[in-house]
Amino acid sequence: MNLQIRPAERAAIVQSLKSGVVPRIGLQHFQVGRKIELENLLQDVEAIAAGGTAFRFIIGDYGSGKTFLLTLARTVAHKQKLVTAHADLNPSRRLQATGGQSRSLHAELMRNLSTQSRPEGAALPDVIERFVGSARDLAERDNRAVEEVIAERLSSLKELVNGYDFATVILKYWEGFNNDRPELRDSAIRWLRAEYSTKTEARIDLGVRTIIDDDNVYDMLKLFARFVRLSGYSGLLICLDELVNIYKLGNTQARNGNYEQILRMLNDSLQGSAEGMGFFMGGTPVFLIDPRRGAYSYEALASRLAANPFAKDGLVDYSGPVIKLGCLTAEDMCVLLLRLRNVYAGGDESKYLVTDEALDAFMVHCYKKIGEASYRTPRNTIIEFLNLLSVLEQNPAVTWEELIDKSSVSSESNPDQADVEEDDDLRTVRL
Amino acid sequence: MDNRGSKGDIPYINLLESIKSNELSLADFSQRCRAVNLLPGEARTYLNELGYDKVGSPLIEGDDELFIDCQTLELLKHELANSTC
Repeated sequence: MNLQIRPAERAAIVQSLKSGVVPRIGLQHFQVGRKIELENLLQDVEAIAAGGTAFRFIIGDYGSGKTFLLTLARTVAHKQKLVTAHADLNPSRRLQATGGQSRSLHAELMRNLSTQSRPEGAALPDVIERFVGSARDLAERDNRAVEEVIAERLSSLKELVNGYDFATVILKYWEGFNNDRPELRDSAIRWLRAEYSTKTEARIDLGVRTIIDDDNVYDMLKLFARFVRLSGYSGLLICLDELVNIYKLGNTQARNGNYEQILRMLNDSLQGSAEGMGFFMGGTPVFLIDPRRGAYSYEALASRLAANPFAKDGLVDYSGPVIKLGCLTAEDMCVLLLRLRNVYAGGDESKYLVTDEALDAFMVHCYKKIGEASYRTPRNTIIEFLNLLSVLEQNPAVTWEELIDKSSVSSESNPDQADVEEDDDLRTVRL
Repeated sequence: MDNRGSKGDIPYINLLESIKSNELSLADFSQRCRAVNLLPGEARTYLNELGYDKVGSPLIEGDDELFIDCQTLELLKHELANSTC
C-alpha cells in the first residue's frame, strides 16, 4: 500500500533530490535497504530515549547515503520524542577551535534544532516554551510563583558547567513572555544560540556572567541534553556530517584538538557519563582510516574505533561505534526507482510517467555506463532518473525510449582531496 | 507523552475553535494562544504531536507565516471534544 504523499512532501523530495541533497521531510516515501544499519541506529535511539547514550560513526563514500541515513535517523528519533540537532562541519564550523568556529557550530546546531512537531528546525523556542508552560501549570496547580517552580526544576542543571547561567536565561525567557517583553525573549534565544560574542553584552541584556564560547560548546550540549529531558522530551540526538573537514585541516594541533573533542564525546558515551544524549557522525573512509590525518592518526581514537578482527570474510559486527555503508543491491535500486516514480506522481498510480519496463531499461543503462557505482553511490543515478521524469512531464510528446540513451549518468567524483590544507609539518620541512 | 499539564484540553479546544483560516501569521497565532493562556510553542508542540498520533500529519507548519492543515484541524477538534466529553 502506498503511503499518502502530501504536496509539500512531494515538492521537498523532488527539489532536494534533483539538487543532490537529502530532503528534510518525507524520507519514508523512498527509503530502501540499509535494514541492519537502521535497526542498529534505532537501538541507539531507544537507548538515548531510555536515558542512556550512543555514539556512531557512519562511514561511506561520497553519494553512498550517509546524509540520507543521518536524516532518517533524525526522523526515527523524533518519533521516539527525542530532540535532534544537526550540522555539517566546514572550515568555519569545528568541534574545537579558538577563532569562533566552535561557537559557530553550536549556533548552527541550535538553529537546526528539531522535534517531531518542528522537523525542519527552529524548534528552540518551542522546547523552551514547553518547559516553561509545564512549569506554569505546576505553579497554578500548587498556587506558587512560576519563577519559583522554574528555579526548582532547573536546580539539577546547576551542578553542570554554566548551569547557573543557563537556568537564569530560561527564567529570563519566561519573564519576557510574562511581561510581554519580546526583546528579553530574543536575548535569551540569542544566548542559547551562542550569538553573544561578548560577556559584557550578555550581562547587560540578561544579567549572566558567561556566554557560550569555543571552550564550552560540548559542556553546553550536555547541559541542553538534560534540559530537553526536563522539558518532557526523551533526550537529545546530535548529528554531525562532513567530518572529512577535520581530515582537511592542515594544522596538526587543530586537527588533533578536534579528534580530542570527538574522543571526549566517545568516552562520555562509552562510560555513560552523559545522559539521554547521543552522537551520530557521518564521514568518508579517508576521514576515518587515513593513518596520517584521519581519525586513526589519533592513537586513542584508533584503538577505540578499530574494527573487530573477527568481523571479516562476510562476518559483521555492528556493536562497535563504526557503521560502514555497503552497496545497495540491484533489488534495492529497483525498489528505489519504483518509489521515486511514485513520489513524482504524488502517490497517484494513474500519473506514473514511466512503465516498469522503463525502470529496468534505466537501470541497465546506468549499469552499463558506471557499473556497480550506480548501486554504491546512488546519488547521481537518482538525479538522472528525476531529470528524466522531469523532461517527460514537461514534454508529453517525448517517450522514455527516446531519452534513455541520452542519459549521461556519471560516477561520483571524490572531493576528499579538494581543499585539503597543506600539512603544517610538511611546510616546515620544506622551509 | 502528554504535555497538557493540569489545564486539560479546554484551552486547546478554544484555540482550535479560534482558528478560522488555513494561513495565519506567527504574531496572530501567538495572540490567540495568549488569549487562552497557552504559550505558542507549547500549543504548537502539543497539537502537532496529537496530529501525528491521530492522523499522521502535523496541524501547523511554517515559521513566520503558519499554514494550518484544515482537515487535521477538524479532526483534532472532534478528537479533543470527544476526549473532554
